[in-house]
Amino acid sequence: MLSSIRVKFVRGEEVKYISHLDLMKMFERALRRSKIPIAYSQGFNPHPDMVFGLPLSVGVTSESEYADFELESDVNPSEFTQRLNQNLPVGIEIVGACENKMTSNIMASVAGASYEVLVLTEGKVGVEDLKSKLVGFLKEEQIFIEKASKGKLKKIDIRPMIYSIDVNSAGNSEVAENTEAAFGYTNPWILRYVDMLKAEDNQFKQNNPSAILCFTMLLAAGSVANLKPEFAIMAFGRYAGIDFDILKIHRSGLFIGTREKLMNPLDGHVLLSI
Amino acid sequence: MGIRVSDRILQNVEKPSRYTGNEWNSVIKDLNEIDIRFAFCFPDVYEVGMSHLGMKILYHLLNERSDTYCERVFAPWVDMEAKMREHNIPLFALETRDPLTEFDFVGFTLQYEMSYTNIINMLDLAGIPVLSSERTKEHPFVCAGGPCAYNPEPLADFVDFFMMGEGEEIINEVMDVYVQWKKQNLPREEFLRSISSIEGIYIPQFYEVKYNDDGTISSFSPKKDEYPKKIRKRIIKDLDKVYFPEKIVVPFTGIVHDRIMVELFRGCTRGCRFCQAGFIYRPVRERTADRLLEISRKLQESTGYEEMSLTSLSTSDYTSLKELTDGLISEMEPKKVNLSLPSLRVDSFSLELMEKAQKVRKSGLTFAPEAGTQRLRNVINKGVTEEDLIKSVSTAFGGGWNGVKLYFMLGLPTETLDDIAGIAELGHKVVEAYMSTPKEKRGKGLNVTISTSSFVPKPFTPFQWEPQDSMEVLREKQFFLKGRIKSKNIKYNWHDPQLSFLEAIFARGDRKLGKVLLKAFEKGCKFDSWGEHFKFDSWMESFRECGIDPLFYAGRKRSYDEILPWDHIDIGVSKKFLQREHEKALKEEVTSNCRVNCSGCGATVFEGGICVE
Repeated sequence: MLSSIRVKFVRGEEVKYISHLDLMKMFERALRRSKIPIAYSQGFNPHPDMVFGLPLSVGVTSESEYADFELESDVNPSEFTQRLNQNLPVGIEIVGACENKMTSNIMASVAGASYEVLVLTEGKVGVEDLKSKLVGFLKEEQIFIEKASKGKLKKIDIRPMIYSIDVNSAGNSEVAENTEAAFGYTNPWILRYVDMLKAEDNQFKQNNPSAILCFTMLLAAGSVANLKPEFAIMAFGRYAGIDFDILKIHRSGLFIGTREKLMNPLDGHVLLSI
Repeated sequence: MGIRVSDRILQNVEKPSRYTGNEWNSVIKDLNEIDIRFAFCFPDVYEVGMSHLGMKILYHLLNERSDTYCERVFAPWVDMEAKMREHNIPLFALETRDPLTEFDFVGFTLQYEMSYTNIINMLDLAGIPVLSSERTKEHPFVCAGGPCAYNPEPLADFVDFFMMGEGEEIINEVMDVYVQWKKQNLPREEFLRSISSIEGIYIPQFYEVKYNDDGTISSFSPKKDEYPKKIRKRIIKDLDKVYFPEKIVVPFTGIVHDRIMVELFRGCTRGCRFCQAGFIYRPVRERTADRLLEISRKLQESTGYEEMSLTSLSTSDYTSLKELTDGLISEMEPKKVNLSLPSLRVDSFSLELMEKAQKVRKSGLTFAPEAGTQRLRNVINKGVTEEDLIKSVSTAFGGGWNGVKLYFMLGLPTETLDDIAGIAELGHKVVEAYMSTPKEKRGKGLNVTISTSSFVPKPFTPFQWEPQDSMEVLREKQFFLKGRIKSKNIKYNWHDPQLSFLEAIFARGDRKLGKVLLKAFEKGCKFDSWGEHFKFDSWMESFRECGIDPLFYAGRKRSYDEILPWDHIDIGVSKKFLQREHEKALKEEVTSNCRVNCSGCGATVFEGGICVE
């Protein structure tokens, strides 16, 4: 009996430099080690039948990756998770799984992604000031960026692909010991990263006392329209006349459905409905 | 905890996952529970080093010891090295990311001569004095092994001790002695002295070399009577019983040989006279098919690899090849694991096997006749005839193959222009064989590739006394061959002789070359085997500035009574035998392979493998 399982997994700091292709190969080998009865494609060069949501750029971490696995026989999601987790390297972990009853695969149904982008700015930049600039930025009807495509620079309007952006302070020299306590900002992946930077890099602590900011954004993602967070930051930086130096990008969520109705890929819960 | 390389650096180098470790099956140990830290260094980039079977074996073998933690170290690529030097980051090991200065041993495997500058560069990047004489008790011991260690002399200034031959036993014996030495807090020399009695250990600083006025060696002798006069290589008598890892590290990023490698046997029965491996690994010792199937099964389960390959010097000579491949195919096919075959001698069995095992396009088959005429093939004792070759390619063409690669060497001893013309003729005959294969049977579009490399005389071969052709002569020979190839179906590739010239120098070099290596390193020579980094002019300047004539090493004919720099190393095969083989070569006489007839090479002293079968 064929069955299908959808999983949610995380990609930590340890494995953030692995390319998407290498990640797929890693999963293929882990599946073989775990002896999970994965289905293979027919034909000359059989491939395991698995589909991944949205490739992650090299250097980016994620707490919200998804993949679909087609199996040749029934394995319940919790057993699948346990067996695969025992065979995954440090940094990759399945954190949720369900029987997949969706009609289209995860790659085809991705519609949005949320990101945390940690940036450094030169000099003091007030968070409240930035927040009000963001409001102005989002009021623009069109936001053009230039993107290299097939050797040519192409102008693209990214405004429709930006669903929301907010910015918060994610670190401050006075609270280096406890970043979380001082701010409303709460993504633990980013907070841990800021703590690590401060603990291991004295220079970082001295030179950049107050300008570590974190943008939280929800952007269009998937095969129809896809915006990388660095382009949104670049466009906003140009609008606000500020140079943002990106320290880290982290994907905090990935959603299926449509812009009007973004859903959690595992349970179909609606995140956003317009 | 170890060095953290900042994301700023990693995000700006090629393939950052070369430096981040954490691969499946990499070994993590608690530093409080071990006594010895061993940094296993491969003097090339990650993808090359990780493909090396010997490193996989010794890494896991050392980590079987509860008192030892072995970690991996590779040469950082030039972009990463520049960043490391800019930010004062010393060379570190992949597992703990600790700098090499914190290790007890820094061990290098010597796979090719042109990696020597990388060794010096890695020591320098680690902050370890590159010269053995400048290391103190604060520093790790620097050791080396591998095929190039059979002539250790060019590296004598840099390496504290060499391990000769196969490493599985000797490395454990050295660790055992080290644990005792470390406990007793004795001087550094005392450790070296106590391992000098272990068979296979060579400590260059314990020996004195004297030279004649013409630069040849007048004497080579131990500084004390207690040090052995001859250092005999180590071999493993029974390959079925020796340790073989059941787990190997599975890299995230693609490496050169990204698959399970199963080692069928060591040594080779054929005795091709140019081939160093054919002599230094004697006698031939096989693993049984049962043991190989057991190893394959375990490795497949622990790695999840999708591909497996068989390795040896001449896989077609493995006595149980059919039993093994039948077993592997029937076991691995249901698991969707491919069996990748090395170049086999082409006959109906191997073609059938290739069809069964490799579901690949019938494109390329590789043959290595090495020389263009039967006369020269007799000189080099390459037991392939033109008839064999044409029969093989005809069988292959009839089976649907349409691509053939032919490998040859230029500059072999006694070679004439007739022999080179013979290469082109052989190529034309292969084209004819294709044309006379019925159209419905053969594949469409014939591709014949002829590749020539330049012959490099190596120590411990019958050609160790021979001069290498000069670069000019080699280029003329390449040009001549190019003119002789008339068929449009033949593509000709050749190697630039500059690299072969340097290989020839260091392969048969002596201790005087240490200063040239150091000078070349200072001039920025590294990754010499990577064409884009090879700085021939800097090398030539280094020789000039050190007052050393490279032709003394590459282009000089030695006499039989000359003391060769590697004469104190004993590989079992006697110098007498090599001389006999050399004389037979010049008379164009062949020597039969070990399975047919024992030719008395001397390897019987090891009482192993084919010698006692």
